[in-house]
Amino acid sequence: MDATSIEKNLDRILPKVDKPARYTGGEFNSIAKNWEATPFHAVLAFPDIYELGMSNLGLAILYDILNRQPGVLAERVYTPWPDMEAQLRAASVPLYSLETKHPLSEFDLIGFSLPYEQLYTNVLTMLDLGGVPLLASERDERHPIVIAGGHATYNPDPMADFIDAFVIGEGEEVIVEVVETIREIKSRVESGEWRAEVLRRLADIPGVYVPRFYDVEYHADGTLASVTPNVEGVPARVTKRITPILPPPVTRFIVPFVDVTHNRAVVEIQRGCTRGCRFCHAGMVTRPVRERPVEEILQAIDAMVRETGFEEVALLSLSSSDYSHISELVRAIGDKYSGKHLSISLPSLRIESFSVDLAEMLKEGRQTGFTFAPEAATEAMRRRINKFIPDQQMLDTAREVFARGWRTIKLYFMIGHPDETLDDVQAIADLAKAVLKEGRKIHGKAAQVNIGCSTFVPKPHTPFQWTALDSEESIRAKQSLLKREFRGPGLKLSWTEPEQTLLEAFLSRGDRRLGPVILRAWQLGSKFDAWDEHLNIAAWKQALAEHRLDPEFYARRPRPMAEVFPWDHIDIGVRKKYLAQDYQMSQAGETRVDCRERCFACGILPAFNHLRMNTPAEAWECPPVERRMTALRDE
Amino acid sequence: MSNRYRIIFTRDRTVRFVGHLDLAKTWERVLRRADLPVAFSQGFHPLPKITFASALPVGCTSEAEVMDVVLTEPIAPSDMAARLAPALPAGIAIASITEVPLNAPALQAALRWAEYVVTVETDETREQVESLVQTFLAAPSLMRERRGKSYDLRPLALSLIVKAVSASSAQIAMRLLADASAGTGRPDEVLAALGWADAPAQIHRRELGFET
Repeated sequence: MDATSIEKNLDRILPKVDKPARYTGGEFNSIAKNWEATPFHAVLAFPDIYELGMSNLGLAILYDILNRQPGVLAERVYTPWPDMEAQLRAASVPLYSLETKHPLSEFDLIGFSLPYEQLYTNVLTMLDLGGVPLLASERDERHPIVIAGGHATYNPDPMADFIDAFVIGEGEEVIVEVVETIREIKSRVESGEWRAEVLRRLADIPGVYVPRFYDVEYHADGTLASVTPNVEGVPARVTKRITPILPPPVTRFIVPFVDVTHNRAVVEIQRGCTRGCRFCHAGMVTRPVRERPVEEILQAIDAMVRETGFEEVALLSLSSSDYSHISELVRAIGDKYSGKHLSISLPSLRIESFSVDLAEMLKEGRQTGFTFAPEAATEAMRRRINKFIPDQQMLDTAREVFARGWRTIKLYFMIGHPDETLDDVQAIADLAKAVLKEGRKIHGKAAQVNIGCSTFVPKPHTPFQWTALDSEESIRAKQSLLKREFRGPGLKLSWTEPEQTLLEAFLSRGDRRLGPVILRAWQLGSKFDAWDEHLNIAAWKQALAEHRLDPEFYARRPRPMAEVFPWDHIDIGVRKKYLAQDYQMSQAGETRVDCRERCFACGILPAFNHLRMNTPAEAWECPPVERRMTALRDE
Repeated sequence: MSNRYRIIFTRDRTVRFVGHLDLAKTWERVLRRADLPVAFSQGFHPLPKITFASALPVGCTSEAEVMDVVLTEPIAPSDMAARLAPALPAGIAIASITEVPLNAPALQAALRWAEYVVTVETDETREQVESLVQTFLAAPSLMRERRGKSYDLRPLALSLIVKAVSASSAQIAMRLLADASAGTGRPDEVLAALGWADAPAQIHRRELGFET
């Protein structure tokens, strides 16, 4: 079906679906290049609804970069909600790009963003609706190359059956290299048999993992024996890509017509985190820490307001308080935009009174709540996860927040930390109530404490990758304790359903054998698994059983220190030995200070030595590398 | 000091699925992109002083949407139009801008009727279409239900005129009441009452009528 017939069909379909403006495109700053006049066609796909996909910074960056390339167009597609999916199927209309309404199958490249595992089945829905064979092995010269990147792909193999090539790490540079490679080969190979050469050449690009060029072997007990290249010249381990200096920020964000999850422009003030929280996947995989200069941030905000008209700009980072020039930045923003009806959000603040000073400088009009993430409620547990703050500091900070006018505090905790007891969970309730008590002294009954309590999932590439997911019985016991404790007024609890946690755990820790399981679960109707109302854990359990696999094997088995992990052939720059050492420190209740204070030699510097040497000292928070050291290494 | 401007704008097919609240938000952002000094209400929750005459039903196009915006300083309407043009999303265009007195009656209070041109897919002949319309107009009342509430549609339709009938479609102009106190008629409801509840239709708003 061509673009014109798709448009025609949409006239009949769209009036019948919920929120049709999600499927029309045409938003301000969206880019619809001339299809015929543009040789290379890419589509960026987010495997969840429009509202979530439009709030994803990674795709906004790649959209901006690709559309700046001459001869390249990049369009967008999101997962249609089930009502729209049904309409598309009933009318035999393929899933199409929002900009020019071309079916996915007509693109040269489909790039999926995979930030989390629960949207894997939506990838299958989108390929299927788009007229693209689900299995990479079944695609030929008529079909697009399907790539994927994002945080979930640091363990790519569960999706290896469906993705031609994974892009590991930061995409800004490598996406252009991928496009150029495909474009060059497709235009050069006269026989039309371009696919094999493209895949082989993609595997030569640093940071690109092409699963078909690797064989996986298992031990009799089901654990992994090895992942080894099956062709000459592909790397045994694929090292993630990083950009040595943060590229200029995107300012021309697409402005949606409908309300999306985050209605705002975003500027990344810093990438990476030096805190070293042991549960934190992002903190390990996004090293090294690179900061954006204050002047560049200020200019970006200015441009965003002019180019998007958004009423909110968010300063994004994993830990805003750690940005070296945070006071200077916040003061400058406060001076410039005060009274201009622009709200500036500054997430991820440390639990200290300085954070309250920062937030106060940005206060504009309506006051929303103040959010902190203590993650654990006892000092011993905070030591274990390496996110240490004294209890007194938590209460002092809360008092300060309430005293300066905020009435709501949101606290993020996790249950299911390694070796956690019911006493540790009781402490969450006690701490939240102590915080509420501080609020009541100032605001009386208007004080509110919201508690978001997720369940810890031991993630690949973290010091806790050797630990097991808490048992379902224990998770339920801890959740019912919390539900019981948070019954009163002024307290509100939200939590993650144990089924959701189990799915996340076995998909994020899985190996290549999960490919057929994902396919089967999808055939059994699984979609939108991240949505509690859609998740059907029974379908997943059936799919696993049919392939003689046990979710507990992946999720709840403490792994011996020597075990080969399904993600060991993916190199994040941080050494496994460092993670192991950090895990052992955790068991001994030892903490590491912020690595800006002292380098613990996690491995990121030797991994990116060459980049570090050519980067100004102040661009990274890691110490500068001396040329002498490099010389020694090379010998 | 404040100045009040009346903007008449058009909405084409591109933005026919943008709902009223989303359109209001879109305008806030358009005005910010155009860097126009929009006045905000006072108080704890300041809001931009933008008002619309009438929400356009989702799925419809229009050549006569009317809104008022208050600015904190005067600007020539032609300059304002020039600044708005590059800030507008595709599908929305300015038809005219005029300054109105700050104390002019509120748009919603002054609105009386809306006129639509509806093109509906049907194979009925001109005579059949005429007869459907006559039956509608001759009815003393036409009780319908919307969102669980029963109401009389007939007095909300001021006039219905058959404009053209082809082998596959009929075009009808309808002037419907749009009155804050007396009620508002919906063109899709009129179509349904004519027997075209599920027929594909293009609904275009041609004019809004105000008390003068």
